[in-house]
Amino acid sequence: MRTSGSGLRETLREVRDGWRWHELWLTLGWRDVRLRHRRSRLGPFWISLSMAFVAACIGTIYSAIMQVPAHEYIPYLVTGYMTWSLLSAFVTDGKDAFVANASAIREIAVPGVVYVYRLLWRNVLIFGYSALIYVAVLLVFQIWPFPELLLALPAFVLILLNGIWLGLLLGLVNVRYRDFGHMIPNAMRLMFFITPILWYPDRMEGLRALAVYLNPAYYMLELLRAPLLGQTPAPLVWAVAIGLTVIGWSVTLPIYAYWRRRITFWI
Amino acid sequence: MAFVKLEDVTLDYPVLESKARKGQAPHQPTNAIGGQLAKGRAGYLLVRALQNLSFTLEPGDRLALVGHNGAGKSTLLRLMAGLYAPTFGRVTVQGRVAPLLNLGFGLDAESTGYENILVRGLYLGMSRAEIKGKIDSIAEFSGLGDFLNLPMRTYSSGMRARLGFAISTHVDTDILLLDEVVATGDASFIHKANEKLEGFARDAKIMVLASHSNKVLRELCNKALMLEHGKLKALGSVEEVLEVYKNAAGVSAD
Repeated sequence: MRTSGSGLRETLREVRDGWRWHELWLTLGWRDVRLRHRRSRLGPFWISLSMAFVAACIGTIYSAIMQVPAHEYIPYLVTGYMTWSLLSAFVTDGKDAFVANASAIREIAVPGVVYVYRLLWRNVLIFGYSALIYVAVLLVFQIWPFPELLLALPAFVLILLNGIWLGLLLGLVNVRYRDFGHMIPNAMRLMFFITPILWYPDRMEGLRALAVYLNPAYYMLELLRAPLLGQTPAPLVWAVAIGLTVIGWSVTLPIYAYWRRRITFWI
Repeated sequence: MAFVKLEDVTLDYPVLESKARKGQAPHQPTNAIGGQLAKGRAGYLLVRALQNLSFTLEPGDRLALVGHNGAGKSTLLRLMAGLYAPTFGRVTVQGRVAPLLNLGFGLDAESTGYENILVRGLYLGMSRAEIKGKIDSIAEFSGLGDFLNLPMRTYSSGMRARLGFAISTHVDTDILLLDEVVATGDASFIHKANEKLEGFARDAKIMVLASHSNKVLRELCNKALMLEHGKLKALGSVEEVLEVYKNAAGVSAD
């Protein structure tokens, strides 16, 4: 059972079997969130609180810089910022999917995808705590995002599907080439500024607009931000998001299938 | 029926951090410790941790692994645990495997003993409901009593061993793999462990234990395998193999 090579089918089976371990990764992901705020009184509500600070401070200052009224800018900022936090965590935590679980990987033959599900779940929970502020913003600025908000559901599923391949691929590469892991946070910091989170994409003209329209992060961001704001994402956004999912999975599957047995040796 | 079967298994272990020194072929093992070193494709060192191993374990076998430091005992355990795939050869493992290779694993120093039972149990493939049903008998077997409500950082290494051992032996498992674990326990614990493991053998399960304590091996095992530089040196009854080991190592067996 363990000697047969590394087939694509075996990998797909692993991705599916990962769900059978849901009690493990649900527990571990939840513990990650809790332990991070161990012995603090507010606990995970610090996540909500820091989101509130972003909304209040950056919201008021940047609405002036951008010359957009606060009641328009703050919802835009909050939805964009929490979506970005989710996306960037899928990348920065994804690269550590295996490295961060080294002691478990050396000890127990749990399918590798379980560690990816763990980090996805952890970040979904963090997203949930930020979403409390989103709800507050809706109430304060009296925004009624329905029925477009329902589109957030398929958008979220698409983002999660991308999170799985990101974790498998980046996690695997980082196990082998650790320099890669040091590069990622730098790249993501840069991405934060060249992706329209604090600013509006339609402000970019000419060649500069390429930073928006050739930027995959923009499409994934817009995919979820638009329905959260009660807007419908453009068809192009859907198309690019689905395209990224398909490309990502078709790149990841053969690579992961070929190298996954090496992870225990490299870790 | 549980069984473990190795057929001509060789395992090369790449060590990514260390490139072989230029123009220098690694020497054959004149050193007493470690496996055999070789140069891999990209110039990385390869450790040939196991070489041409073949043996079969059947239900009721309690195998002692002996050998000098770095002879391949832990690697062999990890191979049987499904963590390493063999470079050449075939490994067939039938049955559920519960490894207890590293006492620190899955145990969080800040969490209580009970929380650690849950997490480690889940890692071992138990469901929450299953763990809930067994938590009392795990607690009792560990003998830790009220300490289970305290964070793990207050535990001694012997207490950790007790807890880890208690969890791993309460999994519905067919094959138990232990690495230098039971030896940290005190006499009463070894006695308890012995009873548990004898029950294991009666239920036609398999146990493999690597240890440097001949006393523990004699008490717990009914078969022994000696490794030397990753090769099988002797396989037979515990006394026979320990005798070979004693002669090879030039130390007294006790």
